[in-house]
Amino acid sequence: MRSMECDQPRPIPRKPTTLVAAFLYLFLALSACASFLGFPTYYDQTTYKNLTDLKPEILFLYDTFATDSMDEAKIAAARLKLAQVYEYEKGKGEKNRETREQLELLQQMFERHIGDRVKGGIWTPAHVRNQKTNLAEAFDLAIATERVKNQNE
Amino acid sequence: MRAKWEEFIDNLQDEAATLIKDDLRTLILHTQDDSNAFVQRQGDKLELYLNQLADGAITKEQFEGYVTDIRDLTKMQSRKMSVAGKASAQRLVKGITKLVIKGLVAAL
Repeated sequence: MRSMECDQPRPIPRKPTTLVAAFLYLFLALSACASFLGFPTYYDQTTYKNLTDLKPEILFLYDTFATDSMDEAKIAAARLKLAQVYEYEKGKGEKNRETREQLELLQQMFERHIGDRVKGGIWTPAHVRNQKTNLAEAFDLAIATERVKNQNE
Repeated sequence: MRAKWEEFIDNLQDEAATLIKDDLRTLILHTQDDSNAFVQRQGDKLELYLNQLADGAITKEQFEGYVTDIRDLTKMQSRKMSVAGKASAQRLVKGITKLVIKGLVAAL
């Protein structure tokens, strides 16, 4: 004789569907947030190298502004490199908006400083120091911004 | 004791300069007391530039240029903060995907 217990259907082992569903909802919500927030581009070694290479080049150029003659060729070369770095960042699209805007501000600062040398003449030691401090800080901010981005693992 | 730049502004005959003196002092003190290192540095630089202007070490045009630089550096700092916030959220999403969805939920 079969017992009453045996007559009852055995429960089918099930995964805790409620929990799975909750996580899936959470994932969907976060994915939606991801597209809304527009996560930034990943850390880019080329950007880091471009910026760290260009910073000392322009700082050395500023040292020459304390002398009589202005090296137009060096200024043109620095301007071209800055433009190339800007185009590289712009090419990454809207997700790289912040870095692109930083590069725009850096270019504007550089042009302002060049204009100051052209109009105002030879830079005094205090002026060289002040201009170099601000330009170096601008580069440092762009470099630090690249560093806070996540690695694409 | 009054700072060099304060004496400089006091000696200006321009009434507008005298009127902004207190606001300027407050601005410099607030930035120098700020807990954020970036803001502190800008406050220190502003005071340095004002003292250099008072000493005649820099021109009015150069001073204007430095203040414009500070404005643009502040804009750059805000872009950096924006990226840092977004990158932090990105790490959270990545962590949840990797650890929770692919790891924990798959193990259940």
